Amino acid sequence: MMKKVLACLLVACALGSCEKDPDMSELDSDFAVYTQYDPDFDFSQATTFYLPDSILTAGEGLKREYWKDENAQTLVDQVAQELTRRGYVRSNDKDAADVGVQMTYVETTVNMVGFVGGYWDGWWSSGFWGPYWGGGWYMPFPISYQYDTGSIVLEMVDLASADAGDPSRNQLPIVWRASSEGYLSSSSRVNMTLVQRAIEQSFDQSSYINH
Amino acid sequence: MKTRENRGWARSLALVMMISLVAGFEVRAQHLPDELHFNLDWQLNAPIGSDFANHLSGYGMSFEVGYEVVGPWSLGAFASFHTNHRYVGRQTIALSPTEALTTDQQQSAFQVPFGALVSYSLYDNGYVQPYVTAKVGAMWQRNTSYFSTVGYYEKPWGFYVSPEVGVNIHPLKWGRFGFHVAAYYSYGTNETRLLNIKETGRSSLGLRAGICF
Repeated sequence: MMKKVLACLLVACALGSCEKDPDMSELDSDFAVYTQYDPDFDFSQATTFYLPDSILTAGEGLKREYWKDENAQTLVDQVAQELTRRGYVRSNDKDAADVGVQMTYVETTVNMVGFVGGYWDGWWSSGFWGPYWGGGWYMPFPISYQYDTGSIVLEMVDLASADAGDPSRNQLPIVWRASSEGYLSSSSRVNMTLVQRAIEQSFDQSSYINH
Repeated sequence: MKTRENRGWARSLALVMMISLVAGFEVRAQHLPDELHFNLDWQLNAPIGSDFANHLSGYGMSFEVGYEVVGPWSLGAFASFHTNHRYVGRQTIALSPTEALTTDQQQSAFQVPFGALVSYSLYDNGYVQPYVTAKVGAMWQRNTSYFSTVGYYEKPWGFYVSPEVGVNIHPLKWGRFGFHVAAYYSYGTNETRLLNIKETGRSSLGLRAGICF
């Protein structure tokens, strides 16, 4: 009885492992862009916006840091232009602006490590079949690869609804959020282009914020 | 968010299992009763009436075992697997009234039906044996949408039915080994909701070609 149960489990395992992965090289390089908004907020009533001149990012040990170089300024200017084009006026006074926009950018590096070689690294290796099949046993060796991902987040908060009893403004409602993520290349110029295209798409698919 | 899983260990185990099965049958072939027969096929599958992973593909196999209970009637069991794909170009998808997602995606539908079968042999002259079969059982499905750095997936179960018509062709009269070809229709009641795709049930047409023994 136990043998039959074990045989059934092995068959189930075999069938479940026979999935054919699709060709991922068909996917384009652009970031996936996700947006969400608060339907109860009237964007037509918000005419001024406050936008910091730096981008929040994660430093070593996930500490808060601010990205302020030339590339950061390019992205900040792009967001300011997109909002201005949609009828908003930039304000340098955070207390007087109707909405505030926070930009956040995070890069992540994922490291994958595995071992090949010997008898049990995988059925695709000649070593798995043993020396009789011509491959021969060979010393296992590690393989590793890594990939980088980038994420740019834009958050629009309602500054006008700040509670008078909350002078630090820690409870500001987010009325619009755009989150874009994708793989990064080895070229910083390409990566900048990807982020800029993601920012542009974030506004293109958010026509409800237009005046 | 769900990420892609590493299935390398499962493939290794699957190969060990298949080697054991073949080795087992090789030893016991001379003891198999004449009423017991098997089919092992490569499978071509085309989803119909579906917008999700609906491209024709040959990424599948089928296995059947049957036992002649009385005259031309046989009872048995089956198990198969198949994967269909579809690439969807970049588009903006409305996830809800307040959410939108712009991306391209690679869709994948992995289907694993299994269950019982009843078969009727229409004719048998020792060389050619046409038949009709009705299969009933369950189907496990894993539908995945890959985009950017992630993949969303669901694993619905459903009820499965499949009529099939085929023929066994034996080069040697009344020989056990031969070739098998068949055409089938299948329907699974599996429901899937991935991003903007809502699928209730999945129909397919397909062909099988392989060996019988």
